[in-house]
Amino acid sequence: MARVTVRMLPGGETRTVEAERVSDLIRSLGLDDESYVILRDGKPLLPGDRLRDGETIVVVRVLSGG
Amino acid sequence: MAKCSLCGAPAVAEVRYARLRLCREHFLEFVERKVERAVREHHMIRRGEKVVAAISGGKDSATLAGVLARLRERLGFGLVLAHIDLGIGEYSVRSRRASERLADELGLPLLVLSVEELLGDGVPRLAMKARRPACSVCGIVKRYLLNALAIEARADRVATGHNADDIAAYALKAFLTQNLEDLRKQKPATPSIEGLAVSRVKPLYSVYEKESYLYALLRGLPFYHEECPHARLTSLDFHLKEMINKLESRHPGIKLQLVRGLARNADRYPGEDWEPVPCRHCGLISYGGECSFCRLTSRVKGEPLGGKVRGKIRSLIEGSHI
Repeated sequence: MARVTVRMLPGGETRTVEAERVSDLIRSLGLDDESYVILRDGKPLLPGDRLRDGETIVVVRVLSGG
Repeated sequence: MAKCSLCGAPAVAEVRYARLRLCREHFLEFVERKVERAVREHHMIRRGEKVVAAISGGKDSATLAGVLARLRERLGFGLVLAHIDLGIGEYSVRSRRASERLADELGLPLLVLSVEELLGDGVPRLAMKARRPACSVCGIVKRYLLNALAIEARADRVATGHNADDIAAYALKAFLTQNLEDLRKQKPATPSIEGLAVSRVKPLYSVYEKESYLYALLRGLPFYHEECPHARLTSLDFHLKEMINKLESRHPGIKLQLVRGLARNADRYPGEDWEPVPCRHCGLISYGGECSFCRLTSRVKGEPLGGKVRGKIRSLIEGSHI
């Protein structure tokens, strides 16, 4: 299990999450895969990709508001 | 790490409804083909036409301009960009900057219309004076200025960055509230009305919002990804988008079916009862003889400003050679 720092965009709120893969991260944040893009160093990750302990991940809400 | 279904390179995107995982190059090609297919199928742009792409500075405009810039040689059309500076504080400053960077990056001409310069107030002050919601005033002003710009620039089409998520949410809202005329408005292309209105096209209508973000990111296009301070994440539109995406997660492809079905069937829904006629003040499209922009400016500024604004836009265009 990796412990990662998550930065949420837009907004910039940060939190710490424990998850093994990107799909677990999305689930533990209560999000759905269609509305978010997960980035490591600016590059998109797929749901099956493994997370690395101590890294920072950016979670981007791609849906624009009403 | 997942591999691209087409070439085996590391995958950066998963397109579940097509059962594909794609590398950067194949994903960019996938989106470009999807847009080209939509443009051809719905006759959005014909050879020799002049297209004004409306860009806000966000991801969808970056993708719209980026894909159209690539398609213009193959499809044989002219392309200029237009940005409306809404005068919404820092949000508008950054959006305008992103639009200028995008135009530079793509080597395309850009015309900026500033609401504050044209009307003396930005959208928030206009809305306060009109005692109307900012989003409603913003919609009236943007629609009017883009149409006026396209008419004065003698353009054949105005292209907007509405994506599949926008259209699906709008369609569902129209159905839930039984405003069936609004379903008809979701056509990928509306025709021009000589002298009154320029054809509107939505080349991204079948591109998912997530695909649009990924395209702009992976193509390295400049965009500004912040929410307008007037947008509400508690709005019905936003909740509908979330709901449709939850459905899409469980039933991949349902959103595409909805927007493609609507594109085929939009004409089956009822149209407005009124015939469009020229506004008695400015001469552009109205229903009933006074356009909503002239009505709004009469209320807020004491006189209908459509005609004057058209004149200012004409001068800007003459000075810019677009």
